[in-house]
Amino acid sequence: MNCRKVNHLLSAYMDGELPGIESLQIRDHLNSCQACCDDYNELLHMKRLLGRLKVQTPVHDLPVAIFQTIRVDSELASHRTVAARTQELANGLRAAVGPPRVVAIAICAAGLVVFTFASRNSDKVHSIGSWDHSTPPASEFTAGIRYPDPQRFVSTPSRNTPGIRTLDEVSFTGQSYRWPDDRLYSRRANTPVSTVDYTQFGR
Amino acid sequence: MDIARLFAGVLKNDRSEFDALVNRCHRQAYNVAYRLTGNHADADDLTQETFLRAYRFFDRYNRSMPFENWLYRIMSRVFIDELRKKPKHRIQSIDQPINIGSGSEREMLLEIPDYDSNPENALLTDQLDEVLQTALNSLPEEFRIAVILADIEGMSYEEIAESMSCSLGTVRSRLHRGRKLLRSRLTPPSDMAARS
Ligand SMILES: [Zn+2]
Repeated sequence: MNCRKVNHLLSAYMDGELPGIESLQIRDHLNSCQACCDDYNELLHMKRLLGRLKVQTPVHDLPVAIFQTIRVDSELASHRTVAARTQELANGLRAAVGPPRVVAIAICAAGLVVFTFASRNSDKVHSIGSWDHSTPPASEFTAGIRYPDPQRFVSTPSRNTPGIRTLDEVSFTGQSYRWPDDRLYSRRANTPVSTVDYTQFGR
Repeated sequence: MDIARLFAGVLKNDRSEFDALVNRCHRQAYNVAYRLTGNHADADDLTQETFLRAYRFFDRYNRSMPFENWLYRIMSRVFIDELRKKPKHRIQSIDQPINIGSGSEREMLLEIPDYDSNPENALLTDQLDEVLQTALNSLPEEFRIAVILADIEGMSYEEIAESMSCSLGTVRSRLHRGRKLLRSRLTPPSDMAARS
């Protein structure tokens, strides 16, 4: 074997991924060729360096964040499905019935039915809670007001986030969603927050 | 019919299996994600997105394959997709080595501390960690994934091929070229000139 070919196979030789014969040929060559031997040692050194890199650990409770992400995603998915079904139903009606006014009424009726069905369904686990709008009145939730009282956030007890009781303990990094049902949805659970910027929710 | 469940494609039994896998694998997955992306914020995003997709497609997970390998297959895809989405990502020129001094200074930095005397406790210094990470960041994505799976995760070529959905020959060549590039990034031009 010449140096060029050996050089090409050094990496696989080092990883023990060469068939026996080739492996022996390389070993013989390395015993007699200083240049290739130096190359090999350098490759080996680098492999060891990489193997000795520190194990990087998550900066927060990753499983909690992952389960939260999944929960929100499932919730969004079910809402998307509801929307898609309503649309489908509307399309079907339009084809069957025709006149726009009848279609509009039908869409509203179908939407109502599906929405009732969906909201019964979503009470289970997906949202992390909802806002208590009884006090203060809803008019205070205008865009731009930072509303400081975390107590008014009523959390929904859930299987995957046991112990979340006030907004102080709920955490998120900014990508938040708000549905007409006034529940707060958080895409990820990272940094604890104590106040909520309502401009995000655009009420 | 439960709409959410239908959409997610995950049934109750699968869910508890999945949760257990998250608990078992998240640290390892995070470490790989960190080495791929080079920072905590991106590693966090990448890990979460990977597990989210794993959850969505969990009904397609073939149990004969180790979960980690399947997870890294998803992670590789997410990683490459996300990188391509970003208009500018920090890939330094491949020809340009990282400035880590030269001669004895470099030798000292690249030395493995206490490698022979106490291999259990031998961790690299923060400085060397950073230098290696910068060099990794400079590799094209496919090479980077292959090198990380081989040298940090210690996976076999067959497992890497499975995780990267490519042939053994491709794994071999990606590793070969990736390591060559990595070495050139860690070697000052003067040393390179002296070598050839
Ligand atoms: Zn040679």
